[in-house]
Amino acid sequence: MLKLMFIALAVGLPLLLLPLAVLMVRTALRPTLYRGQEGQLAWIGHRLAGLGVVAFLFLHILDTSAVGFGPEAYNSLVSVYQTLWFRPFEVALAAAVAYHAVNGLKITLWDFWPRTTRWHRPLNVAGLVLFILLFAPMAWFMIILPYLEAL
Amino acid sequence: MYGQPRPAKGSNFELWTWLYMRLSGVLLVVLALGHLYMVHVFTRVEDVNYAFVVQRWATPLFRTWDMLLLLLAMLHGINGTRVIIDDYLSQRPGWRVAGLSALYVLGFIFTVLGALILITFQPIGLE
Repeated sequence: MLKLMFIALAVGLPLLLLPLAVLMVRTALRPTLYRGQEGQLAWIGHRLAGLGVVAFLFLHILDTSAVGFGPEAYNSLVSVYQTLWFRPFEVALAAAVAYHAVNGLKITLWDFWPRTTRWHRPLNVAGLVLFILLFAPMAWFMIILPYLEAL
Repeated sequence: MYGQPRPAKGSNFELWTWLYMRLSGVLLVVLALGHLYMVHVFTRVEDVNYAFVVQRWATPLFRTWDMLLLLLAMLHGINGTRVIIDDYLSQRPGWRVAGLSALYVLGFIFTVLGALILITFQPIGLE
């Protein structure tokens, strides 16, 4: 029962934020005179990733609160995260956090030290490398290792 | 924030939230990614269960880590969502107010719930 309610919330919470994500993408796709190039894409990605992470944060507080009800309640809720169904979302979450972190660091760098925007292209490449370095170990344990073990 | 009246003169609210997003963001890079690594790399997600939480929260360091992560991330996420709602629902005032109200009410309840569990948790049912 508790588990079913949790699954309903796991589906429902992101649905609350979905209209915002749709509006965001629609606004970005609207033809305007503004040609933001990769910076505009990065900005939309930053917001979408942020929304996704915040939706999971709310859900994660709920499942963690179940520790107050003892081992059975908690273990039954976190077992949802360990199913194959959840794996794609787990990977997306790891990618979203890593991307949002790297992009946020670039924003902070450029806001506090505006002169570094001169090197925005090399810094974008450095950001991509950093993203891969941060995401790769998580991807290894979430995708590749389970796959190898299943062989 | 387009399509919004200019903030009242002398109000520095947006300046402080701008600063907060960057300062908390830098801390969250370490706190959130560190948390992800602890639970998904150094521990397999299949091994996360009640006993794992009991063992982790027995250390004051990790309770403090999780508390900081909870408070900084919730405020960072709530503020980010507020800016997004202001940006995309400025032409729909009813939806904007509904969205902001839901965000603040849920945000407050969830932050308090998380903090309460972190402070009051005592292991039960384990020898």
